[in-house]
Amino acid sequence: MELGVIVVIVMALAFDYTNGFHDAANSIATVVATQVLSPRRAVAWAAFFNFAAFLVFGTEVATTIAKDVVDPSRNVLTVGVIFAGLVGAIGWNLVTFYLGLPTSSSHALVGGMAGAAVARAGFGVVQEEGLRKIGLFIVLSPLVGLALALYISLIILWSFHRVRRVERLNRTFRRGQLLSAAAFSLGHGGNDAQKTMGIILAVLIAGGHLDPSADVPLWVVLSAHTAIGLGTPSGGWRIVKTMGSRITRLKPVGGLAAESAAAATLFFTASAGIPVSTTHTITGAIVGVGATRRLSAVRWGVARRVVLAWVLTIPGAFAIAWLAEHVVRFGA
Amino acid sequence: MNDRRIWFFLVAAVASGALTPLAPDQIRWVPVATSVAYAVLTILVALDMASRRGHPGHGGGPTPEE
Repeated sequence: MELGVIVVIVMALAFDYTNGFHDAANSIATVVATQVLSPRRAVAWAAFFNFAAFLVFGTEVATTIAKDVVDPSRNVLTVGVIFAGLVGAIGWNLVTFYLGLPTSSSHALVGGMAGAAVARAGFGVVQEEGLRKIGLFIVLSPLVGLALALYISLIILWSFHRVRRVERLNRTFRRGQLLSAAAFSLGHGGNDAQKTMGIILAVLIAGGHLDPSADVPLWVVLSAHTAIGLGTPSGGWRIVKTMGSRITRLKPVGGLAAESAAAATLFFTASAGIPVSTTHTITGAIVGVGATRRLSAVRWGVARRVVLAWVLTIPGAFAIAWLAEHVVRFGA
Repeated sequence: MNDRRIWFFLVAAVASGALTPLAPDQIRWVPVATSVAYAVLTILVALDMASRRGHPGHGGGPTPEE
């Protein structure tokens, strides 16, 4: 295996690791905000289920990243282009991490891959249908998460509104939140680790180590889940604060509803091979819980800042990757 | 009393519905279902507002935040 391929694989795993600490907040913010688990235990809980996700999900999202963003028949995805795409995604992630913005690593990666490929061969190499599907769910995933969280909240309220032992009920919801947080972490691991698998699959194909029709090898699956599992304990505490308490205040029942809704959304998108932002999804779900009360319960200033970061992610990563591809080509 | 959720849910219903033609055939049901879900929420909030107008003293039931 040549050096370029090894470098990209290491970078992809490093990206996965940063994804773990960048997005750890999403998995555990509500559990920490509702004080169901201490931050340390919550991180360990999320890390375990991020790793265990390989037992639950297939590799549909990985295939989408490797073959549905840039047309594989045009032979544009060389090792250098994939490297530049990763530089774009990682660069954007670091910028938003520094700013404390919960943006999407998935969309950074898609933007990065597209930007590097376009820099190499023009807009014609981008797969319109693949990008349309991904773009559609940039909007739909938070909306679906929001609606599901709202309906789950309403069903819970309707089912338990006569219960007088509120403390006991809260204890039940706190236990339930452990399960919903685990489910959300599974969905997160399934969705996000597969992005790395997609990159490694693409570079192995580009390097001639795999046939273009090949599935993701098991060692790639295991190494991607290990990287995201190890990255989670490194935690992004700035983002935990934004997600868990600044958007809206949560009680255990609200956390349970938000995580269940987000987990259901991620389970669906992972099985349909759609790379979505776990950040978008859980934010939508948290807003949905807040909206059961009134819209003023949602802190829209923070939500607007988050939305702005979402809108900027694909163009931002695209631009960094576009520049990186030119640098790589000059350097070669 | 004007509940701004009506407008939020209405916009979400229209936005989800408007995305339907962009969806690939096998997942076209997702934006449709999302649009319907928001339309139902819009109607529920409208009914809630109407019932509150009829009973000014009614403050609503518990919420997940209470």
